[in-house]
This record gives sequence, C-alpha cells and structure tokens, in this order.
Amino acid sequence: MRVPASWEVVIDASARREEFEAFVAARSGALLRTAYLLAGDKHAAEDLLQTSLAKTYLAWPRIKDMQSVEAFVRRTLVTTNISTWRKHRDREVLMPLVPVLAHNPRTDAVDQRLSLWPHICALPPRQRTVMVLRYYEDLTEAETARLMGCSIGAVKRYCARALRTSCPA
Amino acid sequence: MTDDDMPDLIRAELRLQAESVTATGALVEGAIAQARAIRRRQVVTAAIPLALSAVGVATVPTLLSQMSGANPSATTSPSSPTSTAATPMRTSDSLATTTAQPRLPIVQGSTLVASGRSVELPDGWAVTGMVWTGRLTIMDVTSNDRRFTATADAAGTVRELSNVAPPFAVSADGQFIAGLEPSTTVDSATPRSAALIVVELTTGTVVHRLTSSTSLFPERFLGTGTSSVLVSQYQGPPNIWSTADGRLSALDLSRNPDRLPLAVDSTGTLFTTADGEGHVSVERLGAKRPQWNSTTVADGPGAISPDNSMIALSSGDALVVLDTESGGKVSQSVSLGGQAPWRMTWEDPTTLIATDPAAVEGGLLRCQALTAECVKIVPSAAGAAAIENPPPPVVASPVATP
Repeated sequence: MRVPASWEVVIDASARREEFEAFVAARSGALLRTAYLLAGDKHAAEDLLQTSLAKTYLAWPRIKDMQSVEAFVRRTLVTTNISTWRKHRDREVLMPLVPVLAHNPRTDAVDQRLSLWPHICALPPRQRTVMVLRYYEDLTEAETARLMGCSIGAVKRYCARALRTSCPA
Repeated sequence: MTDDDMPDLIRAELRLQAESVTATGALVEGAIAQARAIRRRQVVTAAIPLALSAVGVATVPTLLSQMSGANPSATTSPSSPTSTAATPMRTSDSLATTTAQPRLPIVQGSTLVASGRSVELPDGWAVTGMVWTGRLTIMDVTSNDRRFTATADAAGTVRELSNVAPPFAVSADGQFIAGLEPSTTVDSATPRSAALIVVELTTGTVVHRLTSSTSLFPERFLGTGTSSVLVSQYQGPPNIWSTADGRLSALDLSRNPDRLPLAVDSTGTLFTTADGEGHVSVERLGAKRPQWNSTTVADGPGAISPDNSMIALSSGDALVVLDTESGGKVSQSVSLGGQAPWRMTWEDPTTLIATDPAAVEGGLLRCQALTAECVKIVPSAAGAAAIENPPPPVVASPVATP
C-alpha cells in the first residue's frame, strides 16, 4: 500500500530484465504458493504476487544476490498483503464457509486437518501470516518477526491466538 | 487431538493447500508493467516544518522508511504564500475540494511549490520527504537509483547536498542536519552498516560522527541543540545517540523495548508509541508505565500538534486525532474519498495537511483536527503556469547557502 522511496526507482536496463525474468521463471511457483496461503484466494494471490514482483523489479539494482531477492519478495508479499487488507477491510470479502464444529471425540486427525483450511482463511491477516511463515515457510519466531516488522512477542501472541482460533472444537 | 498436535496439522494443511496452485506465465510482463505504472504515479509530498514534526521508525518499514525526522521546538512560523480561505466545493465522491494551496512547501509530481514560487525539479526526481526550515526546503530525493539530499531556497535555487545523504533530520534551529555519510545509504531491502554524521548546514562542517555496524539512520533531534538524536534501525529497536560522548543507548520507553515511537512532542520526552499490533499509547521517556493506552491502531507515524495537545494518526484509511493528555478521541474521519492520510503535517495548530503518496490523482488533503473533516486540495494552476521562467539551475554544492 505504501510506496517506499526506494521503489520509485526504475532502471530499464535489459540485463536487469533478463535477471528478473530468470528469477520469476525459477521461483514464481513457490512464491505463488506462499501468496496463496497469505491471501487465501487464488486470484488475490496472483495480484499480490504481481504487485510484490513489481516492487521487486523496481528495487532490483539494490538487491545483491538471488537469496536476497527471494527474501525481499517474501517480505514484500507479507507487507503488501497486510496493507491491502488494511485498505480494503471495510469492503465485503468472500470467505470460505467456516463450519460450525461440534465437539466429536471420535474425530481423527485427518478429519481435523481437512477442516482446518476454512479456519485458517478466516484468521485475521497478521495471524494468518504468522501461521504461514512459521508452519509453511518454517521460519523461526525471530525471522517471522523481522519479516513482519513486529516484535517476537507479537509473533508469539499472534501464533497463540491463531492456534487457539484454528483448533476445531 | 491435543493443542500440541495443532502445529503439525496446520503445517500439513498449508502444504496440501499450497500444492493446489500453479503459476501462470504472465507474471513477468504484468509485474514490469505494474512497476512502470508505480514509477509514473505522481508522488505528492508535503514538507514538515521544523516546528511541527513527526517521527518514523523503520521497523515498521513500509511507510516509516520514507519519513525524514524533523524537529522539536517551535522556532519558525510558516509564512503564507497562498490563501487558505477558498470555499470548499462538494464533489461526486463526497469529498469536498479546495483550490487553496497548503502554506507549506509541497511537491506534486515534479513541481515544488514553496514560498509562493513554483519550481520545476529536474527530470526523474522523486521527492519522498521534505523538511522546511522557514528558509530552506530540504528534500529527500531519489533519482536513477540514487538517493540524495537537496535543498531549495526562497529564490527557487535547487542545490544538491553532496556531503549528507538521507534519511536525514534537521535541528530545531535549522542550522544542523543529521544524516548518513553519502557512501552509506540504507533502505529496507539492503540494510547494512552506516556512518551517521551531523553537519552544519552553512559551512558543511561535520561536527559529530558515529559509525555503527548496523543500519542506523537519524529520525530527529531531541530537544534543542544537537546533543541527542533519535536514531532508528531497520532491524532492532530505536536508540538515542548522545553526540557529546558518542554513546548509543536504547530508547527506554516504559521499560518495554518492543514499543515503537510514532511521534515525539516538542520537548523530546513525550512519545506516542505503538505496540506490535499498532495499538497507540503515550509514554514519557524513562517512565515505568505509559501515560495512557488506546485501542486505536496506528498504521504509521503520527504528527503531534504544535502545542503538543493533539496527535494525528493514520488508522486504516481514516484520520484519527487523539488528545495527548488523556488519550481520548478528538475526532475521526469517516470517508476520505478513497484516499488514505498516510503522511501528515500540521499546517497550523488546528489544521493538518495529509498526503497519500499512492493516490492515483491528487493525494493532498487538508483536514480540520477538531472534526476530522477533510477537503481535497486541487493542484494549483500555479504548478503549470507559475514558472513561465525557465527552471532554475541545479547546483552541486557541498552545502546549502540559506
């Protein structure tokens, strides 16, 4: 949502474009999967990834190696997703149905897992982001905090709330 | 199932869901087209006058990295090159408009409007932050992959400051600028070590210098003089740089290093802060607990009114004004016609100028603090017509001459 100064710069060097294309070709699948988990919707995920890649393209000259590029894109995915939510949170959002769960002691783990996605989609964006970064990207609490621009304590709080909310019955 | 099972179940669920999507081939073209659209977007920036400053902290990186600190005490008063008395007109998007231009220097696109004069800035300059000393407009400029400091004086002469790089802060008396040595610039993408310097504006003399292994940068001078500077880093809590002895000490706010300062009052001791979720508090430097806590969530740096009585904050797409003493809500905007007051500066004790750098058009609002009623400022025809003269030359200079 907010456009940092560094993103205002574009150098249309052909070499940069080639590097950028190679990066997108190699990593777009993995990045789209992360975007999908963050956004909870395929079309929103594509928009989110495209915006993040656009910002990355603008910042390309300052990103020194491919590892930094991927980290930059992931950070941009996270911040852009949260910002987008902030900007549009007053609008109607279509969410997957969240089933009303009754406690069933016989429910096995598979059934529990199958019922989790709607709950994850229904989480507030910061909590969902923590879930994705901690349990899909396997980042540490410190890495998650750094990526989200918040404290480790906040990550712990988001995580605890998300786990509590996501836990069926 | 126990609570201990939940992480593994969530991990498995996320991986299963992630495998259900595959990338399409149009991403590269779409991303590059969008990048060019971002670049073309007009950047709107309003200057922060020395007396009325906000502070940003880069650990909330998306907005705050743009903020240049300004200064604490009221030593200058804005002159009024243009009238603010025009009658607002209601438009179809429910936000009224006005042609009364801000009394602060602003940049709209490539035009700097300051002191009643329009100056066409060099092609490709994107001005993302400004501080106004009353005589000089000091700009944070990015152009062709280079970020640098430039000044514009009352005569419209634009100079590049070659010996101090942004982010910068300007002392209360407008005599000193704190920034980075030009060889070390920082941004959120490539944080690295930096050398902080305080430079006397008129002579270019470096009066204080601090090297650090982390990516520190100045937010603002605290109090009067140059004895202490609030500095931020992209990864870690803010610090106070004591220039006298070169010591760097962590900002002690309610003994809670997790809290981030959003704004500082003119005394340099009363901080508006936010916790990890953005909830706003006011706390005094060194106090054991906050003066008050609020449920208001801030999205970025705030701006404290000249008399320190109110704090203006961006919350979602709304402008929220809180009472500094009690934390009570003075006002909150309802709808701003799709614009977000991301950066704010006080035009006078009751009026704010808010800018939305990402607005497709316009992006400049004038808001009344007591009611949070905002009007959209229509770009002045002066921007196009005031400079019939050729643009002033850009002079590379080690210092600005006010």
